Amino acid sequence: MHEFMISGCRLLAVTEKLPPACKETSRLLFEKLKMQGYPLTAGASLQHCHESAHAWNLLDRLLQSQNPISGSAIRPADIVRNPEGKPCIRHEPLLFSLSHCKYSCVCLLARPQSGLSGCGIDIEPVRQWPLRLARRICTPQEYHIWLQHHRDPDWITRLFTCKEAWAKACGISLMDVLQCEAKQMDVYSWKEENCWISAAVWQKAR
Amino acid sequence: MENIIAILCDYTETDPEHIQPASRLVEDLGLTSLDLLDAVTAFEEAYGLEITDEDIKKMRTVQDIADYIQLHA
Repeated sequence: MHEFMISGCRLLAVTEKLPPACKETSRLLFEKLKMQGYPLTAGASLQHCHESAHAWNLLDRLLQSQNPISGSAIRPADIVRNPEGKPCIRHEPLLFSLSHCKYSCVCLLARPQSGLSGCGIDIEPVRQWPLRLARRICTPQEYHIWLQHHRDPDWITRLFTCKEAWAKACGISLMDVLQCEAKQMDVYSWKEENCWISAAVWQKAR
Repeated sequence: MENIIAILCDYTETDPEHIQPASRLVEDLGLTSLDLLDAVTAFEEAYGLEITDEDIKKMRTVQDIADYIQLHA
């Protein structure tokens, strides 16, 4: 469990390692969560279904626990998708964001407070970045810095998670933030094992 | 279409027979934003294209990608 502040907003992030993907276990978990009322979408791949089901299961456990952020109980049926397809809690008593990768899933919780209108989280394992892909996710200045850092995979993986978390917090497409400087975003990042995780908030007053 | 599906398979961990022209990239194939960017760079290299961020936002299905490549390659 990771508690931290971004621009005066208190947030809680919980990560969980994923077990190896198993078709039967993932299907049962997926169906259990659907039955409870969570708005999961079924991707075609077993891996996606497995990661997604575990991320939603983590959220389910957090909503049921009396952690300092969630406070009162929230029913699965209160979680809906907004017109853009982003899952949210009806009447927004609590903000949340989920992310998952092959190795772990992470859930971010925040209590709405003055000015806070969105939060987002992203987790990515450190990986190699081909030049063409790196150029696409960086501003020209960031790309230059990355080359100066000898194409450090850690540096650019973290940068990507900042932008993805920021886009999720703002409720916009990642494509709309790729040419914004990551250093200007309200983001908190940390590394767990071989994954970078970034959390971001969006405040109306900005 | 076969080549497009073959490239997408590298990012979706989905068997080719489960990918149809109407398959939605995010909802049906489970592509993340990073998977999509990765796949787009593969399409750019395979077809000699420069695909803008705005054009990526319009790509919702496999057919959208095929149409874009047919128009611009």
